[in-house]
Amino acid sequence: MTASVPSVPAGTVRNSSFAPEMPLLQVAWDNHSMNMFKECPRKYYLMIICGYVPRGTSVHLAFGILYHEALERYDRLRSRGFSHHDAVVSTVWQTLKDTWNKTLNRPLDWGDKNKNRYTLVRTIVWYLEQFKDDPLELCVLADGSPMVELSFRFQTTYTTALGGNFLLCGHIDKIGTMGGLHWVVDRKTSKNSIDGDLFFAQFSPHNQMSTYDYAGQVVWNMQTSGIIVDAAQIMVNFSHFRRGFTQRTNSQREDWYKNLEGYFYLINKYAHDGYYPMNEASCGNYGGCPFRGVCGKPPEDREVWLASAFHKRIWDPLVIRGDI
Amino acid sequence: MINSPLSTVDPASLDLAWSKDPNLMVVADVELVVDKLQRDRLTFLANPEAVKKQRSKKTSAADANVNSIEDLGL
Repeated sequence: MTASVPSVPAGTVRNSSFAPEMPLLQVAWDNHSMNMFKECPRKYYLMIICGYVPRGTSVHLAFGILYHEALERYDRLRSRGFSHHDAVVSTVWQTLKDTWNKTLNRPLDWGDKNKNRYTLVRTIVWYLEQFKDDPLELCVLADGSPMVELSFRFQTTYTTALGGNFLLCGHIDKIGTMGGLHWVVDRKTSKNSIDGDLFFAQFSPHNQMSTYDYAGQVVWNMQTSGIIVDAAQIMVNFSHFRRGFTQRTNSQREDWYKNLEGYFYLINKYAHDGYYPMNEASCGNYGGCPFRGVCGKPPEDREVWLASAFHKRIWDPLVIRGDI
Repeated sequence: MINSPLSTVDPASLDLAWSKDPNLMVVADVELVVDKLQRDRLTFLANPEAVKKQRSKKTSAADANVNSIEDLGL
């Protein structure tokens, strides 16, 4: 390629979901990247392309990863014939180890009253008790392995500026059957209320759920009915669970897929132009964008603010989560 | 007592379990932790008024911010 191809800032670590020939062009898209792009192209540029994230550990991310790993472990143990009790004990033990700081010889502490080591273990135990006799049966692949923590990627029909096809990718928690129907299962944790109709209403339309549902059909050739959302509300004194269903018809699937076209057009355009516009209408969403303080400064001052308040990490959706 | 592989968790208080190196625990220690949490759940569920009150707590605007962070495709 010529030297005129816009590139990433110096020092940006290589990300395998981007095209080497066109460094700003992300060819493999997961829900996190797509949501960020839809919300604000400038936020997407700073967080996904440049890799800036606020300093400090995200308790929500750390808690979510440990919660998902624990429930995956339980499912795998159960599929290997372990009893509920033994699988719970093994899962809890591993979580206690995973949340132990060996260097400091003390438990991990995220400084959050809702999401901490105790509420994590409590939530795992309470969830597994609530769904001990789950009517949802775990599906198994032809090789006998359970369909848990499934990394997927599939090619779309939308072409990149380089001539290849965009990929959609992600990680599905689990696929199971209930009532003779196949369901993709996704687990959510939140400090917010999960009661009432509004909580589950948010999952249709919903890019992540539609992507997972579509992947179930395309990648595993299963006639999935939609997604089961197992929601956990994490409070200081209790954990509370609700199971919701969000279904997709074929016409909804086609509509969602068609909707991607316009976004992939913009993705090609911005990568080609090397410019990602701000969407000021989203600066105040969710309590305020973390980059609001940066974008509010004169352009010549922004690098200094980024360097002082953020650190860098790679968000690469093509990295496959392995067995635990 | 802490860090002794033969020690067990006091079922009356889980404090020790949270400050004890889990790599040095034995199965019985972990079973006590699990049992205590399972009994806590039953105690909580046995008090429906408390459950209702706790669930109806409003969330602040700052809490709403977690939606964007929690929604990481996990």
